[in-house]
Amino acid sequence: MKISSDFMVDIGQVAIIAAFSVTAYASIMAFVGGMLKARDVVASARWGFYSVAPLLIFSTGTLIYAFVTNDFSVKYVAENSNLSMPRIYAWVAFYSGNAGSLLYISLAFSIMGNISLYVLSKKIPYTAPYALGVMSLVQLFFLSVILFMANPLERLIFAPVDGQGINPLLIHFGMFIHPPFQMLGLISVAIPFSVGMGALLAGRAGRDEWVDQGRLWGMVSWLILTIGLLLGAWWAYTILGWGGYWAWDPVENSALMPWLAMTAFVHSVMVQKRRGMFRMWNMVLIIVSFTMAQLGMFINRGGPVPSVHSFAESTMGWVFLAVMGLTLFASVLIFVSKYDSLQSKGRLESFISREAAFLGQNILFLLIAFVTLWGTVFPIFSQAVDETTMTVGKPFFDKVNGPLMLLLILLMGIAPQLPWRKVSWVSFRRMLRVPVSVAFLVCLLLLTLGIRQPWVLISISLFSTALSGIFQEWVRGSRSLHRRGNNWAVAFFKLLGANRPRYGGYIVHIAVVMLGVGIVASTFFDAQKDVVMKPGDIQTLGKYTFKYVGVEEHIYPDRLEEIATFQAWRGAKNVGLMYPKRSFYPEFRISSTRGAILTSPIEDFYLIPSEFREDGQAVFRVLINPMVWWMWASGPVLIGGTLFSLSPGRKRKKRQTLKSRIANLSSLRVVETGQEP
Amino acid sequence: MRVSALYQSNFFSSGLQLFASFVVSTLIAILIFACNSIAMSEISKEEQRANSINKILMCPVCPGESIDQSQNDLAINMKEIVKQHIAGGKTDDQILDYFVQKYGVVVLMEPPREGLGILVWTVPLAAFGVAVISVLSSLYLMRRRGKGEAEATELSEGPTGNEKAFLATVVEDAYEDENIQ
Repeated sequence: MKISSDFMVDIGQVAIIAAFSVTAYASIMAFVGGMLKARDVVASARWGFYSVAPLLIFSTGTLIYAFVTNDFSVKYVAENSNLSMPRIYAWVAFYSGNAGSLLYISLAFSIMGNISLYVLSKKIPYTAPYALGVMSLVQLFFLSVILFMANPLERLIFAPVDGQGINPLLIHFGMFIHPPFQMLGLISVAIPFSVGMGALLAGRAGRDEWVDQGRLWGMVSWLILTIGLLLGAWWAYTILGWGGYWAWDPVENSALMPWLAMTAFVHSVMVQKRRGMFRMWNMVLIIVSFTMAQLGMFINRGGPVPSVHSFAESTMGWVFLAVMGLTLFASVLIFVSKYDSLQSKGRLESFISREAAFLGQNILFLLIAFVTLWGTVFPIFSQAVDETTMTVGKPFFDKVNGPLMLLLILLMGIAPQLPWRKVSWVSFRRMLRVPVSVAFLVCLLLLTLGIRQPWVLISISLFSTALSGIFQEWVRGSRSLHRRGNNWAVAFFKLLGANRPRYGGYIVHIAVVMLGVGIVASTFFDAQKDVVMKPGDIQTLGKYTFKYVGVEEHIYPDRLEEIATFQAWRGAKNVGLMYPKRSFYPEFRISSTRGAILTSPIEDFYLIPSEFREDGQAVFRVLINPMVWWMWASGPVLIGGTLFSLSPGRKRKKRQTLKSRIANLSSLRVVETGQEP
Repeated sequence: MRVSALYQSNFFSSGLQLFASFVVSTLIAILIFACNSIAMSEISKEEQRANSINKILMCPVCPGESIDQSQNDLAINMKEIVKQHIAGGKTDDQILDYFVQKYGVVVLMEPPREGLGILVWTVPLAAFGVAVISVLSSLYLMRRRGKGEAEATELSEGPTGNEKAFLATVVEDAYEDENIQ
């Protein structure tokens, strides 16, 4: 067994070297082939790139095999697992350290890159070679770091008897999916970036042909980032044992920043798709997004900011920073040299138009990203200037980003209702009648119910504006289809199918409202107290009554677990037993707490053990977190909405539209002038 | 005419208004229900104060985490000290000062609004100002540039490439509306 693992790891090493050489070849040949317009050369580069994925799958397989067979002669295995680790966690251990996570990123990028490359070379054959070149360069960077700086398959001369073990905080179901999604999300930003850069390099950015592909991969990347963020919040909520889900920690921020920039991009790319405008702006946004994604990887990898996420800590952060600077410099250079090809086609007709609203939205997203960046790096700045160490934490971000996010919600309510091009003041006012009056009514309703916090009033009113705008349009559309003989359900689905990008977006907006309501409710109406109890004691919080039954100790090779048992009642109703637990890992001197959560759409009842004392008394933190359920429920809605918006529909009808475009060009002049107020 | 009709006909019938309001108020009702179910008053004023102070003090040995969040022994001790100080009748500011003197300003989760710390607050404000100005001015420029082009194209016969493109988007809109209506 041992020998075969040795052998496997060596072959895995060879596979990485092969992947590196092939990628280097592809990155040169893609550009050469693109410039010479030599199909064969491009095809050769493409097949080279395709072959990286199987090679990396193989070397990843050998690393996982080394984990499963406890081959501690592999340094990375010795550092990130031990004999007592459950075997299933080999997958988590694979990316839990620096070197392995780089291999994971490289692997994930090669697979996703292959899928996108296949599509790109079919859909935009002239841009694809350059996009391939950029993608290969990105891959080359990761593979060279793996080979020369952090090799996960590196051998130790003397194999230790047992490994150091996996970070205990990672032993959680969420760890199987949150880090892979987060890392894939960050690296996948490279794909729309490559598409954009490829179009610029090919000199075809002015033709807008990259827009569809840029949007597609931009949204895929956005979706993965979003899932990563939500899963991360869920993980923090269920395992970090403090009852919260978002702490504005530097690593959280570094994952949020590219998400913000990508959100701006997936919106503004629609303006180019529909109106031929914002060509430069979209390039700027995708460059910013990729820079932010690189910054995220830098901060995650031994960046200068202290964080609880120091799983992948190393000194190579600075290499990432240098490459980020280089990428940014090169992109700006390319952008400037092709500046002329990016003049807008359409014209902005009015300040009150969907185009203008999109621009406002973009700027707000970038502003939030900037504030987040500023707050994250400020401690370094203050240290450098006058050696005072300062902390910029949650209160700052809540206070500054909170209002900016509410402005975004306001735009989310109004902007989708705005037509492209322009709208007269009269129609604009008429358009806003329902949303504004609903907001007003809701505010009044909240006031009469005794809610006084101004931020709650404002945010809930804005959420209702957004919802009423969406439902107003849906009801309007389905009703007119209903009148033509469809039943309501059919009418509604026909309506959704008629404009998937738009109505998919609406579904995502509903998810955002769900998320927002969860955040507002749990921020402003949470209740928290610490209680000291001994077995048999009964306490209450709100309508919950809970009895501390007792505690059991379990000793495992790697940890000591104390599991408390509670009997809980909601009102008079018995809602069962709850088992909050606390594990102590002596080797790591880390204790991890897992709260017991009784969840419902209305509120979570959350029990966390803080301390078990010698005399049998124990300290628990009890929380009621209202409506957190909605935040997790928003995830599937959001995924569904995004996929719906990307789903290809009405292919045949689109062709008809093309025909009718030509047929109607002249008659439409009437329509256009008819729209003038 | 279809496009213009879309914006001029009166679809804001009372039924729709009612529906939209109904959906929204259901949501609000759930929220209110949730909020009402919590007896915030059950938690003593002292404990509420301690909780909010704990949230703005950082645990010095576990960077980035507030003492409210942290499971560290030092954080637990600090929480105990906060409780004692509150019981001793100290004000929030006095308690914060006590910790600042002991550990430095680093212990505050948000920088003080004085000295260098003022920058952390003013820079976002300035950025907001710059953002507003740049959006407005770029919109203004985009509109002016567009106007010049439009005048030039009006003189020529038939739709130009530019016009075709945006007419096409209008057609697409109209076509979609036709599907719906």
